[in-house]
Amino acid sequence: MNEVSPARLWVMRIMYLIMALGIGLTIWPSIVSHDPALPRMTGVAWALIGTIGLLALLGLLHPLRMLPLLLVELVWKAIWLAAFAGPRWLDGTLDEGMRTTIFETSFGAVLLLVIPWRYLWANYVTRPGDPWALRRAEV
Amino acid sequence: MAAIADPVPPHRRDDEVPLWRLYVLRAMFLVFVVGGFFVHVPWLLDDPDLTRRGMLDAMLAGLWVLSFLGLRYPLQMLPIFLFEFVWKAIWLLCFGLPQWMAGRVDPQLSEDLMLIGAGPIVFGLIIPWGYVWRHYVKAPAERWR
Repeated sequence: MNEVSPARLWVMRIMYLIMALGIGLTIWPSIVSHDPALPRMTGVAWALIGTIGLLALLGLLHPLRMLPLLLVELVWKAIWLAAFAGPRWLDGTLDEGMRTTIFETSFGAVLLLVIPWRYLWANYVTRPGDPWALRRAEV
Repeated sequence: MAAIADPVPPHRRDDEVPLWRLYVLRAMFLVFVVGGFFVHVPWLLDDPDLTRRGMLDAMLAGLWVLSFLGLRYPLQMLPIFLFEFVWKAIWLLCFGLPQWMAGRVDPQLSEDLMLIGAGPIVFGLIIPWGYVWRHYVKAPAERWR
């Protein structure tokens, strides 16, 4: 069941392309030249997001092998919405910046359509794990 | 519509990386899993800190969640370690070192230089680069049509 159609690979490649271009155009210029007095957390956040853009380039060549990158994207956005934005929404303490971020982060839901779930299940859940012990000589 | 599988069949992958290396990778994933438990779980269960926007914490927590899979499939989850290697290298080269060379003295910066700056060295030693080169760079691209 670990088969993926070429059409799906294209959809994945388009996703990687959007990630690489979007981050390449918005975040990378700031990484390359920025104010030295930048707040500490901003530098860390840019390095993290910049990495997603860089590794997405590998995803263009090997969309399936870079699947963990798409999973990182999906999982962090889900965590942020559930653990951070959600409680504030319930409290009614959302500010304008948060609303924008929620809107942007919600686009991560596209990943639910992009990720080949059957392939994921077959290769990341039911497939036997990498070896734990030396194999016996082939018989 | 023709269907294809990953061009490198899973059973072929594990033969090229020695068993001790798989254990090194697993040990590192275990450090992630256990260490992350103390870092991320309190944050996830706590009331959100209103002074932070939380995206950074969410990204690091996302890497933590996926590192669980690395215990079972260390080679398949190598992109997580590549992620760690790359983001820490970017931080070191573009943020940490330039500030340090500009003569900034700041205990927070020194701590970050130790903690984040060690990342590229540690992951540089752990990652099986030959395998990464063969499978993530040089391997024929997955099919286009």
